[in-house]
Amino acid sequence: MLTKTKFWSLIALGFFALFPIWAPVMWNHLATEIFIIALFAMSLNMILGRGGLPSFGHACFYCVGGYTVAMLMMKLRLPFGIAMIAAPIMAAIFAAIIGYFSVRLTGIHFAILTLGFSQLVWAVAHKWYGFTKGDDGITGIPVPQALQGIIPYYYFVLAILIACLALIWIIQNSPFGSTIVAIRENRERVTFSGLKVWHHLWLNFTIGGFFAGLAGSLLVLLNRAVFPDFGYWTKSAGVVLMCIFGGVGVFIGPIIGAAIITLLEHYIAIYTFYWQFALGCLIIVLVIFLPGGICGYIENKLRGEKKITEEISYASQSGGS
Amino acid sequence: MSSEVLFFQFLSGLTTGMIYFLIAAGLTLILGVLKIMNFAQGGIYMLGAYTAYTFMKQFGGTNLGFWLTLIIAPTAVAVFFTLLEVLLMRLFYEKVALYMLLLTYGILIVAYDLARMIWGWIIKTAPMPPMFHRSVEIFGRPFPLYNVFLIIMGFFLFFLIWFLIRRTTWGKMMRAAADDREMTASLGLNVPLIFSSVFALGAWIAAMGGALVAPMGGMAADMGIDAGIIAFIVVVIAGLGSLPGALLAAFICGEVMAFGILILPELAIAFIYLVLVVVLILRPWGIFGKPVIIK
Repeated sequence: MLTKTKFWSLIALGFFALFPIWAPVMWNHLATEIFIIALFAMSLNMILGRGGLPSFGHACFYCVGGYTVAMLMMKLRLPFGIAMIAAPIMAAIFAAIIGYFSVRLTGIHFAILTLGFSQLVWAVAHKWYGFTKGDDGITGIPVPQALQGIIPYYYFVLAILIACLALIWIIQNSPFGSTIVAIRENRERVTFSGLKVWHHLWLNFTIGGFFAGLAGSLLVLLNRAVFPDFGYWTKSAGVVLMCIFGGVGVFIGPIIGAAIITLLEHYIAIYTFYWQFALGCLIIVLVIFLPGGICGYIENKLRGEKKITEEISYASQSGGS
Repeated sequence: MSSEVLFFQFLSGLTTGMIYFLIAAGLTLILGVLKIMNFAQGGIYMLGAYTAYTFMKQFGGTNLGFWLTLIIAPTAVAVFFTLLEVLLMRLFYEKVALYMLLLTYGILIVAYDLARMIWGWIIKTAPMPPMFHRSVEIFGRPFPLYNVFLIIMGFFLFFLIWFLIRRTTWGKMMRAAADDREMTASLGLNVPLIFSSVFALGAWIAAMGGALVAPMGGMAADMGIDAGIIAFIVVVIAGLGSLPGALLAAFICGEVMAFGILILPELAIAFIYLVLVVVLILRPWGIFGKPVIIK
């Protein structure tokens, strides 16, 4: 099984390493965007899939990361490297503050609290013209010489994505990662065994915020602009959808979900103005027929076991009323 | 600033607060009984406004047409969404909360694009019925009569819902189902039917809110998405499922909006979120809610 995984990862790596050589420029741009959104979805899945906490305010950290990089470079004229390092740290600080209040709750209450905090961040970014330039956003962000042009930037993002995926993989397979899953499955038992549930979830939430902030800063550098809508609640709902669509129970699920939905948005938008209609119908169909997501469905078929379903339609504990 | 200006600002805050209450009241009900964070509520409100617009236009903007619209439009929208509840949402009560959130979000964005398909992208305003073309004088300043009507309607709806919940058999059954689904079902009551009726009432109130707002100003498809978030803020400040709390929270938000504009026009909407976060930090379960902290 492990060798198979390694084999397919190498194939994928080789494919994406050679992708820019033959693909047209527009595809490179789209692929870079998908990488970034995939990282964003992966960061959410640490909280949503592994932790079983339905965060509806994850775009907040994305937005914070983006604004940090934009404002450090545009306002303080700091060099690119410092801004890139500061962005995920800033997002992690925000995540630590929000997580401090949120992770004590579960289910719908957790969703509401994270949504509330993220909307506050959005409101500040949207309305405080003196500080964030409001809904005009910040545009014209400079990118260092070496990363100008889409192909160098493609490789830059790919490298960061691979590094982050490796990190997330390590975290998820560490004792810490197992504890998070254990908490998802049965909070009370973990408490009984003497572990501090709350500390684990808080740290997990903060790490999720860190990677989301990194994704946000990467997107800002791709578009050379940042807008408050990065943090609007529809963005948070969108990334939750990507995770569910791909499958929260499988490691690469969120990546697949992010890729498919970004491609769909892109291609439906070419044919019609009403792509939200299509997206909404897709959500409804998905929720009814594919509760384990695409990857969950495929894995289920491959293994041919019925037991897996329970694992994949995670969080039977935390959903309750 | 004279006290007249302040009082006038207070009145305008009261109007805004009433609109917020109309948006949030249905959600309060649905959240309190069905335990669903219904994102679609904003969509129901928006479709209520658009449907009212169509009917008011059809009736030629007369007084009678206005009253007929208030009866027909919210009912039509509520029937449509109740069908959705029976056909779709019922499948998800027993499942993970997340799927319900996603489902209602999906319904919201479908409603959003549906409105753009049917009514177009241009901002619409329903005709103001002739009887409300006047304004009343308060401290020598004109205050639109329609706003007075809106405030009265808001209080009327509040008492209507309160009466239904607290003083009728149906309300008693509903409170029982909210408290303990299984127990209520085992007593022989039809819980899915109670849920559907609560959902229908919640949808009707939201659509009524939309219909009442229709003649007041421009409507666009994204008003549903914005209204959804306002409803959410009000409900969270109030405490999930508390109706008097929703009224109070809506007024707090309306007044914060009205006076926030006087102090810092730029950040008026952010003030509301500030109130929200202060409440979330001090009392995450809201002003009137019950603590839900799990250690």
